[in-house]
Amino acid sequence: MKFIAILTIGCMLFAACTGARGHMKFSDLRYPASMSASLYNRNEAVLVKDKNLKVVEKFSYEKRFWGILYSWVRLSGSGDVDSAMNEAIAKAHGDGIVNVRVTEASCSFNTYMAIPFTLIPLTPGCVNAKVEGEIVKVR
Amino acid sequence: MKKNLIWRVELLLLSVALGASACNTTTTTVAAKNVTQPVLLGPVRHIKGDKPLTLAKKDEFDIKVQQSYEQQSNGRYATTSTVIQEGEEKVDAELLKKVEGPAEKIVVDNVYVNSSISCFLISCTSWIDYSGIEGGIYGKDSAAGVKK
Repeated sequence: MKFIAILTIGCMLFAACTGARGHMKFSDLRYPASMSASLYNRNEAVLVKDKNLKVVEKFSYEKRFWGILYSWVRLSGSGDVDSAMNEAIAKAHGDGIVNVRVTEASCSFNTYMAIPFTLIPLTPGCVNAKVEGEIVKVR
Repeated sequence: MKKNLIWRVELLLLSVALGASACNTTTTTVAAKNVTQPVLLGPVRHIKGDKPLTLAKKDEFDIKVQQSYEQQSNGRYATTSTVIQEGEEKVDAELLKKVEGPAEKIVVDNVYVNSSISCFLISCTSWIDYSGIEGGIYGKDSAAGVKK
């Protein structure tokens, strides 16, 4: 019994899990945004890129989210993503943004931290997110 | 002297292993470029002036694009590996299955990303990377069982 308890504690000490997760709700966006190539106008008509909408600039923003406790606890918000999008659209005098895509990339920090710090199960971790899109203007 | 050299070699090998594993980055993407109608993000629904969405939520979705590797050892000899590799086209396909026509609207409430790695001693036995979207399909408030 004692041996099993020691073995279990030993396994727990030498096992490690690290990472992070992030959420983006885009709730502070002041312009219409779409993950496809189209947007609605005020009359609910669908405006399509290259036909009714002209691309005036490309948008790209990189964000790193941090977390602890096996990625369950989030330490980073996403308000800066909304601000960056608002700023870019305003600067380009655009009417909205289309083809929004979010690319997640694993963080090399996780591997570096997980192996030498296996004794600490609460190792912090991170995840990278790249938000891209095309700022458009009505033709 | 000899002991010192062994330590240095071991440290060098460990550094190389760490460097090699850290360079192995994985990516997942959520996009909806092939969906023929707007896939809305954020509170503003229309170009140039907004008005509230008068439609009711008919359905919900949670679409996840995952890339993962998991190694499981069953006893001393048997080891199984599970690999999942999904592409961004999954989002297009799932959304097109959910939406019934151009009269319905697709609204994304949340975009999420996750990356985690599990290790034991100096070997990492699993990694999971995913990104996804959560949201709803909105349509005319006529069907029974409509979620408000």
